[in-house]
Amino acid sequence: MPLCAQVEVRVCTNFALSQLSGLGPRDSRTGYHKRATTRPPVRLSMPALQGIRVVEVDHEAHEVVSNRCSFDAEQKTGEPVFEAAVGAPSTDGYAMSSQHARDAMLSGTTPLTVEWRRINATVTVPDPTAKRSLLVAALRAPPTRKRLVLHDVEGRVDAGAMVGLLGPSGSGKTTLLSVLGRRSTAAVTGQISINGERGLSKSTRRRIGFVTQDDTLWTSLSVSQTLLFAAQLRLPDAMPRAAKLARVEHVIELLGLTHCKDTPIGGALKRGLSGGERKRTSVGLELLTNPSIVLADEPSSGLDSTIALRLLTTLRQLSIDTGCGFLITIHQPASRLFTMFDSVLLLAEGRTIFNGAPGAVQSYFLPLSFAMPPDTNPADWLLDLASGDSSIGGREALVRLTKAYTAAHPVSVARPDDDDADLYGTMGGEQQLEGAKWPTSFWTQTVVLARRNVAARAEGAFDAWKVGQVLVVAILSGLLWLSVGRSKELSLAQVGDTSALSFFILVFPIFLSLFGSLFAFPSERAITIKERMSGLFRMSAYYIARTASDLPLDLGLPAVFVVLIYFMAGLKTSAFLPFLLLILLTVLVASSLGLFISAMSNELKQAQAFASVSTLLLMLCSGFYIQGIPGWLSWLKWVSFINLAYEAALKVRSTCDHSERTLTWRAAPIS
Amino acid sequence: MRDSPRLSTINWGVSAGVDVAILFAQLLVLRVATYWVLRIRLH
Repeated sequence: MPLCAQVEVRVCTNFALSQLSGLGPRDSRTGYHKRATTRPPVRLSMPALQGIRVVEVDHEAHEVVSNRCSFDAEQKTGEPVFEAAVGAPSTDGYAMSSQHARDAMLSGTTPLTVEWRRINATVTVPDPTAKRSLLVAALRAPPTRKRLVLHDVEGRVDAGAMVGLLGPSGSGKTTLLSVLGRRSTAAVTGQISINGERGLSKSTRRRIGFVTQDDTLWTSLSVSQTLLFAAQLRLPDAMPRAAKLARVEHVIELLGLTHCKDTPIGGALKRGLSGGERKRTSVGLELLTNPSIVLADEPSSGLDSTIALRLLTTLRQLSIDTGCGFLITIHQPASRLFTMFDSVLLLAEGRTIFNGAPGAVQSYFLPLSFAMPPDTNPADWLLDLASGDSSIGGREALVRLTKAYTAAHPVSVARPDDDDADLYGTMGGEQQLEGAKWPTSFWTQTVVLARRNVAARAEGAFDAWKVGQVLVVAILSGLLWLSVGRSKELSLAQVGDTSALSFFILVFPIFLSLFGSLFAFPSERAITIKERMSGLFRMSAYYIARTASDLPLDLGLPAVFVVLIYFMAGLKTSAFLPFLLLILLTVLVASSLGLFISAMSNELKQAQAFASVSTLLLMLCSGFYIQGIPGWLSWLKWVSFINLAYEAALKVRSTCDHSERTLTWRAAPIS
Repeated sequence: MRDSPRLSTINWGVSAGVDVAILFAQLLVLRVATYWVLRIRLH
C-alpha cells in the first residue's frame, strides 16, 4: 500500500488504541493502562512511519491527543476497529501539550517484544593455572582459556513489562544484557527475535535503550544540556528543534529532574547531582527516543533503598504509561522492589534456575523441596539459592535446581551455528525494521558534537587555575627577558638569551597543549564508546567535530602567552605575526601528538609515561641543548617537531630583521 | 653571494618555509593516524 500521502487514522475505541499501543484500556480508577492480553499488538513497520498521523480519541476523558506514530497500515485491512481516511497534514506532527506528555509518549513508542532463545556466550579469560617463567611472562601475553558464561538461557520481555534479571556476581546478568543490546564482545550463539521475527539489526538496536552500570555522562554539562545534545543526536533531523526541546522537558518532568535540570552532572572531583539523579539522567538519555525496550544494568547500584525504590517506581510507571519494556539487572532488591517486576529471571553460573512471576516463587520451589522461610525477602532467598548457599543445600542444590529447570523447560530451538550473524540475523533484521543507518545527517552530527565538545571542555580549558598558570608564567618570564630584544648591540650573552627566549616561548605552549590533550581523551572515551555502540554518529563526524572545536580551546591560552611574553621581551614587531602563527602550528602538532598517544594507550599512566619520554627526546634533539647530534641519530632532527619549529622560529625572526640575522646565525643550530 | 643581505633573507625565508611544510605534514600524518586508531579502538 503506497503511503506517500498524509494519512489520518482515527482510533475509534480505547480497545483499538490498546491494540495499537500494545496496552490495554485505561483504568478510570488508577489512570493506568491495563496490559492487553487478548490479542497480539498490531505489527509495526518503519516504512509506514512517514506521513501517518494518528488521532487518539479518549472516550473517557473526551480528549483528543495527536502525535506522529507508526504502524503497518496493511495490517489493519479488515480490522473493524480502524477507519482510515485521507486528512490534512499536520502542521507539527510532533507537537505535544504538557498535560498529555505521557499519552503522547505512549503513542510515540513502538511496542516490541524481545525474545531470546538458547543463548550461549563464551568469553576468553586469563588462565591463572598456567605456569610461566618471569622472562616469558614479561615478553608474551598471558595464556587464556575459554569460559562459558551463559548456557542455553531463554526469556522474553513483552511491551510494557518490567522484567528483573537476578543473580549473584558472575552469574552472567550483564553478559546477557550486553548480548541483547548487541554490545557483547563474547562469542555468542543463539536466537534473538523481535515481535516473533529473528534478527537484531543496527536500526532495531536504536529502539533498544541501554543504561550502563556506570553513568557515562559529561561531568561539566547540566542535565538539560546533556539531554538536549543527546536529543539532537538521537532524534531525526526532520523533527523541529522546538519539538526536541519539548521532548527534553517532558523527559525531565517524567523523571522528576526539574529541580536540578540546570545543575552540572558532576563527578568524583566535582560536586553535582546525587547518585539517584545521575542515574535518572542516564535513563532519561535512553527515553528521549521513545525506546521500545530499555536494558538497564544495575540501575539501583550505589543508591540507598529509598532512592532505589523511587527510581524503580519511576521505571515501573513509565513501562505502564509508555508501553516500553524494561529488562533490569538488579543485585539485591528489597522486597518492595522485587514485587514490582512482572517476571523475574534468576541466573546462577550462567544457567537459568527460575523464570516466572515474583508471586510464583513459593509455588515453583516448594515441590522441589525448597521452602522459603516465612518473613523472608524472596529476592534475598533466591540469591542465596543461586549463590549455592550452604544453609539451603549448597552447590548440590544448585545443580539440582538447574536440572529441574532444564527438565521443566526444554530448550526451544536446535543449537545454532557458532555465528553471530545467526544470532543477530543482520539481513533479516534490516528488513524487519527499516531505517536510516544513522539517526541524523553527517552535518548535524558534526555540528552537535562540536558544540557539545566546546560546552563540555570550555570550562576545563579556561578554568581560573589554568588561566592563572599561563598568566603567571608569561609575566614572570617576560620580566626575566624584559626588553632583551630592544638592544641595538647584542653581546654574546644576550644573543644566547634571545635564542633561549625563542626556545622557551615554543616549549611552554607545547607542554601545555600536549599534556592537555593527553588528559582530555580518557575522560570521554567511555562516553564515546557507548554512543558509538548506540549507533549515534559516524567516527568521521566525531573526529572532524573534535578537531574543529579543539582549535579555539587549544590555541586560546598559548596565543595569550605568546603575545604577553613577546612584547614584554621587546622582540621585533615585524616578526610577530609569522612567529605567532608558527607557534600556533607547533601547538597543533603537539596536541595532535598528545591525542595520538592518548588514543593508543590503554590507561592514563601509560600515556603519561610515553608522552614524557617522547617529548623529552624530541626536545633534546631540537638543537638547543645539543648541536652536534651523532650522525646515526641525525634523522631525529627531521622527526622532532620541536627542532623544526625552533629552527623556523629563529629563521622567521632573522628574515624579518636583518640586523638580528647575523647574530642569530651564530646561535642557531647548524643543520 | 652568501653575504648578500637580500639573498640571505630569501634563503632564510625558503628554509623556514620548508620547516613549516614539514610541520604541516607531521600535523596531517598525526591527525590521520589518530583517526584510524580511534576508528579501530572505538568501534
